[in-house]
Amino acid sequence: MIYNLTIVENIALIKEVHERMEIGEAQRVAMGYLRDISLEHIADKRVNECTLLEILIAMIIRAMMTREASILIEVSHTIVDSVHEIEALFTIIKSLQIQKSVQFLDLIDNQTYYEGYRCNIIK
Amino acid sequence: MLIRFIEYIGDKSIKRLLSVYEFFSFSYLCFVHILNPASYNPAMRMVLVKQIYFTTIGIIPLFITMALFFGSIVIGLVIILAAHYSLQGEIGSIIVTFVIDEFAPFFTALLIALRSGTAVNTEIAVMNVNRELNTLREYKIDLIDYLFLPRIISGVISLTALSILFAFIMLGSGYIFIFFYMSMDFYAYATLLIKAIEVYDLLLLFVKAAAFGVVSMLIPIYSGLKTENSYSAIPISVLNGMVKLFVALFFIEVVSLLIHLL
Repeated sequence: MIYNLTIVENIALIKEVHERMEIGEAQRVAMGYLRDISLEHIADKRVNECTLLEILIAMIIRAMMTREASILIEVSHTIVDSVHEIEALFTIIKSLQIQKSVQFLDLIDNQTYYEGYRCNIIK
Repeated sequence: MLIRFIEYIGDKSIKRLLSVYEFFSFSYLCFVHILNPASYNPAMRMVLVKQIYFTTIGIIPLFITMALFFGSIVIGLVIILAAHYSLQGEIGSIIVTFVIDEFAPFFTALLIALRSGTAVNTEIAVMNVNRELNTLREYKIDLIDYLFLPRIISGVISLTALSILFAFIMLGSGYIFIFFYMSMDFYAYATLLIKAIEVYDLLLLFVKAAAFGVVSMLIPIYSGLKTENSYSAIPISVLNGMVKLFVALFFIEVVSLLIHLL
């Protein structure tokens, strides 16, 4: 994330650059996603004012803005604080209705964190 | 012993030459991007507006105060010296040469370098260490278009605009001194200046201000970009960048003086 931009500016940046979308329009799209998951209150916050989970969600929404087919999240258990947050993250990803495949890449050491959740663990 | 010394000198020279070559390649790339209309996307334009605000508008109160106090004293001294050496007939061209050709762009460049140059160097260095530049690269956002061009263009615009403002303030202060020292009325003073000023003077002001503007941003950006990956490297990067910037500013000033003399 870019520290001197707000969360909504960070998310909108991808469309502004790659699709040359006007700033207001790109920010409306970004705001729409944040509203879908009831996180519109973080829109005008800077990265250092957000929780780790909020930052991770903003990063996922930003990745959604790209034209890439899949989103890879690396070592998520070093980004979020606890197992409960991983559960919250899964719920949010589902409610975002992402049209891309979302995959978590993590260390074997963190395998136990994901056991019990509905996810495929591939070694 | 001698061989080692020669090797050391050779190694240093090659490294220095490579670094100069890299800097000029980087400058060339930036210049190519400036000419490319595709570089001007909405995000870049927003950064440009913000940069112009921070570099030009934000500095105006301090700038006017400095120009009024420092500029007035300097122009006063020039007028007193000219009168002392019986150069009243040349006072118009002395003021124009001193203010428009030399002092206004150089003083503005020093102020912008101190204020915005350091800020840009630190900002890019921090972004580099925080891996924010890597994030932008990962998302295929061109660093030159998004980060560097707005700063370089704002440097050129702000330095030119502020140099003109500085020159106006100094010429205004000059009138106050002339009025009290030589009892000259405003009409006579204005005529004196208009007769003395040439297209060459204005061209020199614009070219110098633009050159100062480019180096005031380009060198700090390049220095920030070359910061090693640790927070302790940031002050070293700013220090090196500022030293190089001041050398470049003095170099441009000396070259312009030489051109002026020839």
